[in-house]
Amino acid sequence: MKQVGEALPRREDGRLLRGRARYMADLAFDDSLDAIVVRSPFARARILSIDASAALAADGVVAVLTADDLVGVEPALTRQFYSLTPAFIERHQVFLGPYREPVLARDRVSRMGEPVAFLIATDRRAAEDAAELVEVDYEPLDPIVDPLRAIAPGSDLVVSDVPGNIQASFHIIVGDPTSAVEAAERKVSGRFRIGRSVGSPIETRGAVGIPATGSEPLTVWSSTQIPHILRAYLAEFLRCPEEDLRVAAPDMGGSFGGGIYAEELLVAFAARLLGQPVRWLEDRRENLANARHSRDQIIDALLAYDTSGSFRALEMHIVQDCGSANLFGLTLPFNIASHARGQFAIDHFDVTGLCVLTNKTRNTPVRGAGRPEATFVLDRLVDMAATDLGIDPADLRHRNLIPAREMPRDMGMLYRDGAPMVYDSGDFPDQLRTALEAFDYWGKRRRQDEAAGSNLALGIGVSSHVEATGLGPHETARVEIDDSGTVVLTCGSNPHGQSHATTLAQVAGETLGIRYDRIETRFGDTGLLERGGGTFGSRSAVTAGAVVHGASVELRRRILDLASEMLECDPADLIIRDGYVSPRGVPGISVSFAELATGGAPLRAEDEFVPPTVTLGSGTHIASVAVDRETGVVNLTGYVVVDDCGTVLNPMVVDGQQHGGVAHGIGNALLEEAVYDEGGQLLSGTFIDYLLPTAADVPDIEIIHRPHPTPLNTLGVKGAGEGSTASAPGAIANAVVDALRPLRIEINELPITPQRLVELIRAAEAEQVEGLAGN
Amino acid sequence: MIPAPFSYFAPDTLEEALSLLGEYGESAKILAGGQSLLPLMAFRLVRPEVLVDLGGIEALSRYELAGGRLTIGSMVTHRTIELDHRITSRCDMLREALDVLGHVAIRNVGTVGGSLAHADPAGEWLAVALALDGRIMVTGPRGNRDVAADGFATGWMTSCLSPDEIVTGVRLDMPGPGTGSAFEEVARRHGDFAVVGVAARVSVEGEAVTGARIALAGAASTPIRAHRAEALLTGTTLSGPDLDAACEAAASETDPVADLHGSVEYKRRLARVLTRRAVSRAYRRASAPA
Amino acid sequence: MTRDLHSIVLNVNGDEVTVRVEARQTLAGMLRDQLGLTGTNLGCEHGVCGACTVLLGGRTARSCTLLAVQANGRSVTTVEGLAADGDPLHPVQQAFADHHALQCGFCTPGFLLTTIEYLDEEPEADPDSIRERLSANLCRCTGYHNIVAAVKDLLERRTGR
Ligand SMILES: Cc1cc2nc3c(=O)[nH]c(=O)nc-3n(C[C@H](O)[C@H](O)[C@H](O)COP(=O)(O)OP(=O)(O)OC[C@H]3O[C@@H](n4cnc5c(N)ncnc54)[C@H](O)[C@@H]3O)c2cc1C
Ligand code: FES
Ligand code: FES
Repeated sequence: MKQVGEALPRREDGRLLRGRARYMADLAFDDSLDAIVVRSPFARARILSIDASAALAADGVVAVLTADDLVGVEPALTRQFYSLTPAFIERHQVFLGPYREPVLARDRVSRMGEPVAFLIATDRRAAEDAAELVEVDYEPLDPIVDPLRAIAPGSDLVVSDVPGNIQASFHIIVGDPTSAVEAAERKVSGRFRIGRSVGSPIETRGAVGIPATGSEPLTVWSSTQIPHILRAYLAEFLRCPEEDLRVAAPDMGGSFGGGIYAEELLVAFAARLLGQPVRWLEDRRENLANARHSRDQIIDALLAYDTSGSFRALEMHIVQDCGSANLFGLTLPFNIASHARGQFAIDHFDVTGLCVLTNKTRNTPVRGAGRPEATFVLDRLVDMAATDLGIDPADLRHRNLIPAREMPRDMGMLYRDGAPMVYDSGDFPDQLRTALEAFDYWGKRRRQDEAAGSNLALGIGVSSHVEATGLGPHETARVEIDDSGTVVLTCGSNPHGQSHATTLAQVAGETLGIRYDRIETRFGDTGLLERGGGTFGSRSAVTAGAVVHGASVELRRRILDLASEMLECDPADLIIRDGYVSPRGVPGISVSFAELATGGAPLRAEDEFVPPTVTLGSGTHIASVAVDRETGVVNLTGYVVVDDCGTVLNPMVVDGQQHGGVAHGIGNALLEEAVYDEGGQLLSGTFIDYLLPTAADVPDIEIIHRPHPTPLNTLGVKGAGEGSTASAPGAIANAVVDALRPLRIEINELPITPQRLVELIRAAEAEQVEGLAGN
Repeated sequence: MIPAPFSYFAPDTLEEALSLLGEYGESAKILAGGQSLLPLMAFRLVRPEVLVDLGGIEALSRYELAGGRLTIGSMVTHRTIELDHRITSRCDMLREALDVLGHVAIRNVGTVGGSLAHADPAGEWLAVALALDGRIMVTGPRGNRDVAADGFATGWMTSCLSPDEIVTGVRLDMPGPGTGSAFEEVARRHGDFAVVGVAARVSVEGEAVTGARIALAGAASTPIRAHRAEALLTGTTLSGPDLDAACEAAASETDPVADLHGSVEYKRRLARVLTRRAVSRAYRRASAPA
Repeated sequence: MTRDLHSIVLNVNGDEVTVRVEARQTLAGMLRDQLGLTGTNLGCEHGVCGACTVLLGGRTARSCTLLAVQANGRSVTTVEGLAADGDPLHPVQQAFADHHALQCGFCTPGFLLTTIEYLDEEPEADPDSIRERLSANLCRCTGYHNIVAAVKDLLERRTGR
């Protein structure tokens, strides 16, 4: 039965639709205590004293833990997330300074919201009431908020052992950029700012620690994307072997960005200390202040080209505001660099990246993670060049796209995993043509001016991106048949909305000859599988898909071997249908999975997939907007996506991921911004001020698939979770600039708020008036 | 996010409510729909020791449209008015304002009196009341009083109410024949508080404006009336220069407070732009044959 | 301060229940913690995200910004009340499944109840009003496209368009 590639209904939906999901806050444990984090109200301060006596005396309070109470454990996280190969470090001139992020602040706080104490009480109400009684005496210091000031000579230091506040840096040179820029006939350049945004899943985070019992190890339930990685960090923190720990993820209400957080460690510590389950649930204000902040770069960029419109060189200088600690090392700016040339043939390339510490919340990769930023900058440069040359942007793009015949194409640099960065597959010109046609681009261009109203200006913008997906290092899966004959699929990657229980079961089901909805699936629990990767970087369909496929192929071989013995028939002559194996053409004779499973030897296959490197997804988006010239309000009026995510496991699911990605990108383009004031105080601390897009902010989205399967895995899958976020800001920014083309404004900053747009419009109008007066 | 503890009372009558407020003084707060108060309490930015819920006082949940006047009890929900076609068909401004006031789930619970008493500078109700010559009805230990909407709000989320007083309702003049009205606003997203909103009511005889009311939300620390702009419009036929002058005047009468969603400059600009749009539409409606 | 406790009686998903609640208990808190109805999710606890939306007397309300005591004597419908376990899904639930209108599902109960009220109040609604109506609820996963498609489908089936 064919299952891969079919829009089969999701198996997850029944429970979710009936309100029977078990999200973090829905889990109940006997004798559970509730914890709350006491946080720093200051961006930078010395802690003079902490007095918890009043809190400890309050009703229901069990303990108040401060840094001094963290005995026998590592007081800080010190290991960055990804390791880099020596060859990579040398080739791209990587500098990596020390990383240290206290679990609880001891003498000083370096950002608003930093955990200072962990208060545990019999229930949430008592905890909230008592938290107000913890008295912390701070001596506020001047915070370092602006990353450009942080790297200016003489700046105060966020952390004493990171001189110049530069925690990490790299420099990539491909070709001979200096000569190419010099030789090029024309150039456009600009300083681009990408606002800080917050991952903001609708479920906030949470974690529960459960003390070890006779049979069960110390267990942490956490709304994490990466249970196995969290277990490794927990083991380091608690100074115990990983085998003594279990980490599991419940149903998750989204995530959009990974990481390790103090609270996940603290619940384990507190549970072990107190001998009772300890639960911590984040509230929305905590989430907006502390979790999954992302983007936030200042990028100086230059595109050099010839009057013929041929791109010669690209230069970028990236200042990444990392906040107070840089768990993720080079990840964000290097992702920008890796995706900076997008779909274009640009032979000469020069990028530097600086990871700068400031007194803000730690930056983490969130959906897109560098791709939207890179794509936005490149899209803007391309449209600026088109204006400069007087060519339609779609034409200029077409001239510079890497042709399909040049695939695979070595990009002349290494990817973060140390492998040469190679565009493995894709047909970019076809993608653009398809998008233009589906959008009726040329028709709409012709009608653009007639359609505009008195206050409304209409614009169209194109964006194209690439998306390296399916990052290693590895993923693990086991497929087995239990005693009852049920196929059980276990995988390290755990879902938070991505439909693993459907798509991965489709992969296993097709291989094993059983309907996907009869396969039992288990995810995200270190107790079930010794190793595992996780769900991030659009990797699941790729890595988990491949590994489930690998394990299923192996299990199928074993099933057929066993059945061939029982049926006395060559394995090659056997077929599997609906969980029964029979000789081809003899449906009357068969042996069931259940019968095979009771045969003795366990019917089980486990596989580990180590991707050779990332695969290259890509997409082209076209957006149209109506801009109210007087108020600066931008409305999206149309949106087309053409994407290449290789083999599509389930088109319904992939489309859903694309829709979500586009909406996220719309948020980044027009609405979402985490704003700090000069004192390092977060101003966008509630959902009233941090603006997620609503249904009314997102248009209907047409999606067209033009898949080019990758040769890098057996399924041909490339990731799909993030790419659509990448193109939305560039497409929208270009559309807004296009709408206002008589004014020749440039949009270099995200989000494009109505106020910013009005300021640009006014400045451009003033300039035109001046120009007229001057004539 | 759980409010600090408090005691809760649900009186059946206004008298009981007043005596509770008298008894607990400043430590008590009135609870209407709770759509503004409860979030503030959840953040512990407001922490009353006593809540007096007006939800059980039936007399406050009535409203009446009679003789060109709409009288709304303070506990009537936004949605109740919105769904009464007799009202919205007579007053475009009210219909348009209610359509953008929060979301249906908020309007189902939030009340007219709660909005007025809360005196949010960006609140639609107070702006509408200003534009419809509203009178806010108040009762207290010293008896009943009637306060003009213009002057009710005295500062940022504060009003002339004393803590022992209760808003019992509001009286609004419905636009009659020859009068048109409109509400215009810019909010960051549908249902968000206005960055700036403008309520306009224009009466026309022949082609001349005989009277105008312009009220702005989000343009100062309270909703305000643009008196000078109103005066400038009166007697004109809304020609380009006259309208320009009135919109400039309206903008200059504002005193915006900058926030994340708009600078002083931007809000002033919106005041000018939205005044033009609201006044023009109200004028067109006034001139259109009924 | 001592806890101010109140006994309230309300009808939840068709059953009359008597609950003792602290005055500061929200309706959402009561449903989740005291009645075990954890289908009502909390996304923001300040009235913006709509995840906690329930029907109060048939009309949508945010259960996070409503005290349980305010619901005394009223009827409340939560997602658990839409289809009993074992019964087929409610037509709105089914439409959401058919259109892949949910991913993580956290926002879904709120969207279901918002949709039910909408169809109930405005069976003849113009499909163009769907997006504004749904803007009461936030979803971070679906980009709304398929939620809108599900609601449009339901509307069209009603009006026979
Ligand atoms: C997500 C969201 C979006 C919103 N968007 C908007 C919007 O766009 N525009 C808008 O105007 N509002 C908006 N609101 C607020 C909403 O309209 C509230 O209903 C309204 O502001 C307050 O009404 P309430 O009945 O809920 O009052 P409550 O919250 O109960 O009370 C508000 C204040 O008024 C006092 N009070 C209440 N009633 C009386 C009375 N009769 N006498 C004296 N004092 C009283 C209370 O003590 C309290 O201080 C929004 C709310 C939310 C949660
Ligand atoms: S949880 Fe109630 S609206 Fe967000
Ligand atoms: S489906 Fe995840 S928030 Fe809507």
